[in-house]
Amino acid sequence: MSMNAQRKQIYSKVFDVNVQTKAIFNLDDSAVIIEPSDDDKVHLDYAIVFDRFSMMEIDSLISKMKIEATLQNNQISLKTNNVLKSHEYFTYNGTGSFYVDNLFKSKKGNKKDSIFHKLKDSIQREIREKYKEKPLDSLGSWFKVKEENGAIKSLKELGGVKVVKGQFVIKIPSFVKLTINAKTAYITFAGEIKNELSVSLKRGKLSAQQLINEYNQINIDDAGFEVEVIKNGEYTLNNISKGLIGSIYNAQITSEFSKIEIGEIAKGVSITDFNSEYWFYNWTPNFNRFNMYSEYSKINLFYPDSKKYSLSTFGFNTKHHFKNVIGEIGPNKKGGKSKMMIVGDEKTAKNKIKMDIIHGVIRFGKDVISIPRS
Amino acid sequence: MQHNIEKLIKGCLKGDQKAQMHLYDTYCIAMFKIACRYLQVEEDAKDAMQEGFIKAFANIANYKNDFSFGAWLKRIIINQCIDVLKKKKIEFASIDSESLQMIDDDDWTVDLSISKIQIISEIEQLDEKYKMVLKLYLLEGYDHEEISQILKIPIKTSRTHLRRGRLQLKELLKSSHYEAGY
Amino acid sequence: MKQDIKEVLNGFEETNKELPAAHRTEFLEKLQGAEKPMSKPENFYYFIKIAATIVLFVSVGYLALNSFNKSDPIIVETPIEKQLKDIEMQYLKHIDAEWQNFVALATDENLIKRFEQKLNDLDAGYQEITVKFKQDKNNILIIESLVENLQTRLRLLKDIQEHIHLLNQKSEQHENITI
Repeated sequence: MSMNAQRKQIYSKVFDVNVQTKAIFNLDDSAVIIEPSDDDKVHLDYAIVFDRFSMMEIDSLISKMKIEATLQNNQISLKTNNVLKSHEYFTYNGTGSFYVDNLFKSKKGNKKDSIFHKLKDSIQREIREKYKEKPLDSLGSWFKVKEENGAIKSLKELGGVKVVKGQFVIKIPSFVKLTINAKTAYITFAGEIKNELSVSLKRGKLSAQQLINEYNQINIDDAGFEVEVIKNGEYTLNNISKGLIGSIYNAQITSEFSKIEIGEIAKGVSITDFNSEYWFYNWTPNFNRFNMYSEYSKINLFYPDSKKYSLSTFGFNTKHHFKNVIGEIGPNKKGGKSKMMIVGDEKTAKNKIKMDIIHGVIRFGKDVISIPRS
Repeated sequence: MQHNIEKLIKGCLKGDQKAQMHLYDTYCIAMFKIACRYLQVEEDAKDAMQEGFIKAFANIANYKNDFSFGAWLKRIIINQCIDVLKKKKIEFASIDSESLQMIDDDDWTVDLSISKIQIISEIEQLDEKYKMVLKLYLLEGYDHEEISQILKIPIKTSRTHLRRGRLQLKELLKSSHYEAGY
Repeated sequence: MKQDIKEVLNGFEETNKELPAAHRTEFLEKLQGAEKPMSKPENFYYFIKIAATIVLFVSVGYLALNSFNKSDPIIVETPIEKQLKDIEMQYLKHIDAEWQNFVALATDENLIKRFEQKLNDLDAGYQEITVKFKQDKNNILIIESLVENLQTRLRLLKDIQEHIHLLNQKSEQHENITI
């Protein structure tokens, strides 16, 4: 933003709450940051910073936003519409045409042939880095303009993009039960969130540092999902294109059509999945038991450090890749599941990994998992 | 003059045509000029002004002394002008009342080098919705409550239209090179 | 140096407005016309005339209201829209082709059903985003979501086919594997 960037406070409200207070947020096309409150009040604050927008345009933009917050019967209702964290307005008056780059180019060249082990910390750092993402940086690199002379320019180069950044910060005491129904919303939970959460998000992204409550019910569909620490709760994750979980403890995940990397698996975790790809990088020394039920999934599993574990897979029609060996087990005589692979001694091992997989692909490795070229 | 007007009004109450024509003569030019602010075609403005008088005389029994006769008459004539504009499909459409507003600046200042004529002519270039509110506010001196009654829009809308009109006006004045720099 | 518009316009009066010469006579006629006591038949016609005007005004007003409620009475397609339509067409073509390939390749009915459901969900989502786009055609985030949706559908279909190919590859068959 240039020196001429202006800042305006748009909205500010405070509610006194008590332990019985509940909150419901309905967020549409909005971005919010939710963090713990220092006092026993709920604070709502929205301010924008804008550059190269005229006041008329800002006014017009703001007129499209809605923020309504009320406290009735000890329930806070917040409704927001179009309260985006950043708005990119593109005006192009030239004679070029829009050009979508690299649409159908096959990415064979980019195909990975190894997956490297990651530490829990590096996943958590990756998540934190993404909070700071600037609006133009995340613009699809495919969106360009082809000028009349044939030159292809990105939006940044054209300079016709004006940016308005906003930040809607909600401070909420941890004893307030919070329900969020959101569509195309970017929700960031900052700090340690102890609130009991019921979240339903379709499109957008959920970013969080720590979600802790044992009654948490989080349903994410077709959105980004990045959480540094998950403790307890039930998670439904559908169509997450790049999910990142730093560490997970005592939680259930039901997922489909997603890609999710998990930095560290601790005690009490189970996953039921359909057609997702998972990366399990690390395990705590006493993770005790890990269960996974899956169909048509791809699993990339790095062996636990400690020797005291067993790993067994159960199912059929699943490819097992370890080192250079690929093993496969067909269906048993009745066309059903059978024990496929065993590592270690199930009976004596302290920590057990049990995978129920059919039509799956599971790859194992210590520091590197190599993917055989097809 | 005031005493005279009172007499004339009393005459109108009785239906005295002479008294009515006297009132017409007293106020017609001023009212015509006001009507011209809202209706570009002078013929229309004249008709609206005259219709306004007719309505005023028909309703003279409702005139109370709390404001001046001129102000009362002006209100009727402006309403008449608005009716004409409505027939021409000029909408004073309201804005969604839930929408947000920036903290109000209320800054009406512009560069000294801009002349009155320029301001008036740029006001004519504003969006219809804003133009109306701006004129009622700046030229007639009505407040938002009165404007909301005249245009039959919510007070909040009146404020928003005024603010937007102000901002648009300032931009028009700036961009027509009358103001130096940004 | 600044001046305040409010002060400038205070007491403003148009200087060059003049009423036509015959205005007074005209007004007198109108005045007399308005006050003439109406005999019954005239009253009746007067009522009809007023009613007609009111009806006309009401219907005109209603029309005006309608057309202003629509955001774009005249639909003009912007260049972005044209391009996006083109992109959409290309993607949908590819998606359809991959769907056909997938159905031909897959033997698991359940799998096909689940994919069908998933693609329908994504399509419904796409329609929702399209509605938003029509309201705000210059918003890059919305344009991005549209393209992402299409890319996701294509990717899902390509991925599952790749997965099935992987499964179909010949490899060592075992009874079980012990390490």
